[in-house]
Amino acid sequence: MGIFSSEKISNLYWLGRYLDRTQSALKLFMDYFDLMIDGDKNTYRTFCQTTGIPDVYADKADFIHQYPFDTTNPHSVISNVNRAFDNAVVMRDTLGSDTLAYLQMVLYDLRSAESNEERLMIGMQNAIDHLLAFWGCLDDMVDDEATRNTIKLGKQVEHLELDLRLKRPRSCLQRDYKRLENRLLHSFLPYDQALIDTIEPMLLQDSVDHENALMLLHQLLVV
Amino acid sequence: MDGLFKHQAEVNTLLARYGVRFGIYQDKKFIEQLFPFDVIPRTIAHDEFAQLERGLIQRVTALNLFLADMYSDKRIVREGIVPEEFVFSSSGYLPQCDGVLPAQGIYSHISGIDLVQSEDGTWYVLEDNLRIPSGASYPMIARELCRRCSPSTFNHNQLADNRDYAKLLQVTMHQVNRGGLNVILTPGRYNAAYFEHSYLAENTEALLATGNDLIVENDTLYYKEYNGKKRQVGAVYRRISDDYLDPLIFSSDSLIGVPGIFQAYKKGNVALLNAPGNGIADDKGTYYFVPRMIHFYLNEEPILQNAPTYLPFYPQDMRYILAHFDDLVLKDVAEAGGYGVVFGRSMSKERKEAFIQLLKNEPRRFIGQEIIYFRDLDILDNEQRLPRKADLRAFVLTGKTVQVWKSGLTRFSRDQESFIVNSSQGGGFKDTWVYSQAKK
Repeated sequence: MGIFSSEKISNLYWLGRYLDRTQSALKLFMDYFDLMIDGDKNTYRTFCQTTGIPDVYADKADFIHQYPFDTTNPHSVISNVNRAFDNAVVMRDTLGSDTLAYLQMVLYDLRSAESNEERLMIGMQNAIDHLLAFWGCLDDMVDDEATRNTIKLGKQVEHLELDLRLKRPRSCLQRDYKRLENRLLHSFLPYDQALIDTIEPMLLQDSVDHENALMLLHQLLVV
Repeated sequence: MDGLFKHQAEVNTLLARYGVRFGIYQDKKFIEQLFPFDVIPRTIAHDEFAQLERGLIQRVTALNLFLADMYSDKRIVREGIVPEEFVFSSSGYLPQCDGVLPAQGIYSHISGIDLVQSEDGTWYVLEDNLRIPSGASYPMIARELCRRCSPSTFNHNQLADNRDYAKLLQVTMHQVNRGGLNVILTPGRYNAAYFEHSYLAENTEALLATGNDLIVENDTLYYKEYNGKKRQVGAVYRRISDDYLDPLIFSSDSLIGVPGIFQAYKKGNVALLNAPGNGIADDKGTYYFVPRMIHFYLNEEPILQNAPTYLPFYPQDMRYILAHFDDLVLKDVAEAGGYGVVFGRSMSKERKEAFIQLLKNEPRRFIGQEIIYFRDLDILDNEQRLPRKADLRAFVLTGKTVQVWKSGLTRFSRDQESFIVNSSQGGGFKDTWVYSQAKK
């Protein structure tokens, strides 16, 4: 196992979270963008409500320009990529330049998408492709298991959190919970077993208490 | 070589992919930008480099002896080779380092010697950078990417491999290590050379650390792990200047240093690369005395020449500077990065008068140098070859032996009129090719 300070562990964990947040944001944005091409131009409002982000947009055009690219808005796609990059760039020695390069390319993809609305979706698709390449490169080229596990633990926590926010179906919650649990077992980070024992049955119930589960999930790890 | 020229854009795209950047502060805001790369390399023949290599080894050996002397016997001062009042007034002289002998007696482990080649082919040393010289990572990665873009170029040109810099650095760290981890200490993400810090850590397998990751206990330096364990650190390649290295000894308001690290170093429990206090030897004024140091310590003739330099500190030199003001370049000894460099001929009458007054008031602060008309190197600009001023930073690594990296950072000015090649002032860079075999 590599040698990590608590700051570096935090970087790895939050890298995983921001990567997953970015990927989810890109996918959701693309779905809603598609709906608005020839459908209700106010569908973006549903997007804001569903994802729990402030609806600060004047109209559809404003949303399409601002949500992906506004660096001053902490909820935008680019802000999430920038935070992921902030956490990754300080880990070049651990991740390797080849892996880090895929995240660098996500930034370029978004800049390229911003410059041409007609190519917006293609640019975003390229960004998702490069994110997936990042994950592949991480598995393939980063030998240190602790590095991979910590990033993936962040990813799974983020993913389950989004499932709960979006009130996704129980099957989805259970699948992502199992992935998180598996990652926790392989992780070397301390976590609260009592909380795990509480969350798991909550997600198996017919009527999931999303708010409470989300609150408990927040307490699971302190990174 | 022409094959490579077609790939200028491609190589730069790859450099962008790998985040090869440097940072600058503009209006107190940190801006990171790509470091423009020109594919036309500086080429140095095998025999010419062999001569440079001898000169660089000689120079760095003398400078290391000078540092060891200045922080111990001060023989060079006692014997009047370097004036006492000149050398001890250097801001780079740190009295705290007096009597501290670093591991293996080496002060400058990584030396960056800036050279220019004049139009007649003579190489001149312009500066000795012995504190934290940066730049080796750029030609390292550029070579790798050039090889990727145009393999045939490197099949047809027999070059010394420059991708061994990380290995040389790693070996240097191992050789002075006092037992424990090798660490590269960075001020952090918002440092101008952060790319280099992280890239060298990746390639030397040293741990990249900030001051927060390290702690000193019982005069021993440790890396703090997330789980509370501590690992002893044996060598620190620090990319933090002396001022900020240890708030207990130097600037007390430093937030990026490690309290107590100097004491751990002083006790011989950790090696610092480069040693604190080297500023006394890379002071632009001290540069004047390097040829004398070579005579004094090595009893040899200098192989490499200094640019003709005048110290206003000496009355006869002051008279010369005033008489030839328009023909000289004036440098503030405390500045770096191309700052504090002014050409006499380019000053307005008022500015010249004010500058001369300053020179008279603070003669220790400046040097005057004859302008060296560099041999221009071509750069590619929209497929056109244009001549530009360029220098060479050669890297010399000192461990058990003194070794010159068979490459170097060639920096060029992008402005046709300018002699300033520094990246912080808009300059670009080139790879430096050293041919591995003599021409038959």
